Amino acid sequence: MKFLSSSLLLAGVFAAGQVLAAPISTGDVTRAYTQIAHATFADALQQAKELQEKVQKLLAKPSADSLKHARDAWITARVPYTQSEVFRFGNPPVDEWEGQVNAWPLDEGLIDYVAKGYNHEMGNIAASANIVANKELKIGTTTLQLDPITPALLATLNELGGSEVNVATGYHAIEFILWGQDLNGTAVGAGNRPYTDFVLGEGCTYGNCERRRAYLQAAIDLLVQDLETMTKTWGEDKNSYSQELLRKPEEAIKIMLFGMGSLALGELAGERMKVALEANSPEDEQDCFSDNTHNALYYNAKGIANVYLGRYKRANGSSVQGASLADLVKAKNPALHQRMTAALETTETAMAAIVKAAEDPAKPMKFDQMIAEGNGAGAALIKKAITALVEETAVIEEIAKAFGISHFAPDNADHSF
Amino acid sequence: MLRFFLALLAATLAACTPKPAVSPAADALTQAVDTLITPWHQAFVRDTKDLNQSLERLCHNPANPGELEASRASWRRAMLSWQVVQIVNFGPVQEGNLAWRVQFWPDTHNRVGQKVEALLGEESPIDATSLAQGNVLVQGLSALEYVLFDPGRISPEQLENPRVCLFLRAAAANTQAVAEQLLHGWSAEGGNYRKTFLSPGEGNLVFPTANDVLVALVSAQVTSIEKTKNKELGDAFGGRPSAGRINPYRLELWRSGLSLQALQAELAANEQLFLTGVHPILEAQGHEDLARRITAAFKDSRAQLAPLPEPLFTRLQEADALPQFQAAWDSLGRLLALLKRELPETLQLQLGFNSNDGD
Repeated sequence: MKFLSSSLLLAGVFAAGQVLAAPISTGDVTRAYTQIAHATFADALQQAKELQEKVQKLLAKPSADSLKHARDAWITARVPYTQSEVFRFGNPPVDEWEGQVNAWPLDEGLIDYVAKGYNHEMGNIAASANIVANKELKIGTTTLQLDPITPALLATLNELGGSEVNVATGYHAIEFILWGQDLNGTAVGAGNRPYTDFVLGEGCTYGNCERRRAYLQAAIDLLVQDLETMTKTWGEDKNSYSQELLRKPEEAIKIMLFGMGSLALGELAGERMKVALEANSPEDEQDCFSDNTHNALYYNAKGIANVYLGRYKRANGSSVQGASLADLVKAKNPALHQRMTAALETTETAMAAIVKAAEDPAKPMKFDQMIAEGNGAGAALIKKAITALVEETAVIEEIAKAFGISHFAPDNADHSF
Repeated sequence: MLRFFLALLAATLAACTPKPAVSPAADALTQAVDTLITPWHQAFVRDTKDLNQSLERLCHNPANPGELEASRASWRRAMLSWQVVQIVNFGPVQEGNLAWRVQFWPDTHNRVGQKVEALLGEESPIDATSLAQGNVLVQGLSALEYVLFDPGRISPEQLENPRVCLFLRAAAANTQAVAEQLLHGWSAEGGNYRKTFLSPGEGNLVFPTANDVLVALVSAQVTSIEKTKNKELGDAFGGRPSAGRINPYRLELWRSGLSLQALQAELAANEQLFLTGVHPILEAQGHEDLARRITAAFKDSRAQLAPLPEPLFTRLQEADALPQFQAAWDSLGRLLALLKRELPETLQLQLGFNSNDGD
């Protein structure tokens, strides 16, 4: 721990004619970390606003084109957001906020119509609540008023009836409304909701178009509000969370490493890849309605690299860059830094191969096809990425060790009642 | 301060006396392997073999209700054996994701049941070899639990469907094969992981230092107890007893009603593993106080789990029982805090990430 509290002399070597470079401190690294977080969430906000605009166009004039534009905007909006997920683990303001924004997996029958044979969580009493179709809903002994559909109403419906797969808001609820269920299993194809589901009057398909439109509008409005909050959280206001972190840079370093390792191993390699692959279960893929999972995986992994390298490429092409964990590690143990860089590159290569296969112009193989039973080539792509993430986590652990961090358990872990 | 001087004194004495042939750490770890880990694996082989034979008898005589009950009892024994074996999450079990081939859980959406039904409805051949090469959902004890205990599935007529029996036999044979593979991996005639585990040092790629062995052991215990607390106990309440979002289908082993016994068996085995494999090391290094406190914490958790009402599936909902669940939860939390924070700091171990980190 001693190492963390003292500044590091990185370039503090006097030589004739050279200027002494400022030493890089944990404070500098924390500052860059908060700036990258801020830029990432600001981009997510900006892209969500563009999605909001495309949704408004879709609702103004539903057509195959306007629906496609909205879907494309959703996919673009995921690029910065999925890079932000590395900030989630270890930072309580993000972790506590995340449920309303990105909860997954979800039982989509809560939201809208679903096909016969829809498979939901056992014991979920609201699994087929269909908010779009019902202005009132009886859950147990209480009757809920579900009209009008507003952002505030939707926020109260998360975890309805006590089940965390009842997700009424956020990216994946919007994804479902834009795409509909993916009924193709592990075969080719994503959700295929017709644009006429948003048509008012006679052309409306599957009923309740007015409420479906209101739902979509409310969900995107809430997402924009939530991202505004999170962008402020990482801003420079003196009461912001960023400033709080800057006051405890040693703790911040631990949080960075905890976020990286938790996302890489338990979340990305485990929940998001291994479960779906081993169970050959397309319902366990992350962006299952849109078949955009390959990009989510790629940018999740990129988020980890961003934190280590202290740089983030913004949506507008500019860069945010600063003092990094990489600088600290390089100064302390250059070989370890090289191993980390190599591990990040291996992961990047493995993830890029998944993206390339998924977006192959002639014969695309999406994530839900890769996990199909008997698809050896698909499984190999995913296993390679899992292995890379496991290796990467091992190096993150070594870095933590080099920093004298013996455990990642926060002081009150397992003591919260 | 006093402890420091005592430790110094011990070190000085050690330097003056002939070095013992076996260090306390090596001795404790050898004991842990020879009196716990290996026998656990042997018991798992025995119990899965018994299960295989019980199911063979059941399939010869499906109309006899006694055979069904006997098969269920065999299944329970095999599952309780597995609850203990699975604590050892390093070594042979990591080859080919063997743990999931025995048990797939959490399974909130009944993927196991659906996959078993799909397989029973197909015409493809069913045998242990083809199961082993396919989906983990239909390979092991979880799939067998579905067929033997699911309230909507099991009946004598079902058992007369030849595919059901083919499946039962194949899944049991596959589970037995996995159990044998695990034991083989530890034994001298096989992969001899026992030797790898007990001979750390240069040239040992898995355990370059003695500390690495201890890290593996303590991490395994932390992972197991975290799962016990947060998933096996917490999930059915919506995360923690006070969350009040009860869904009994989120209990592990709800179909067989084995949820509580499984929790208890796993914790008791963890306690044994600590007392045999870690406690002597703490003592030898002069940390008697921590050793005593962890021992007491295990005992307390065991005592708090003992009186929980069975079956959890129906009794989770009882408001009267909530304080008991809360007490068990709190006790496991105190135990974990000792194992995750104080123990690693005291022994200078770095516990890495585990699969519970993340969501």
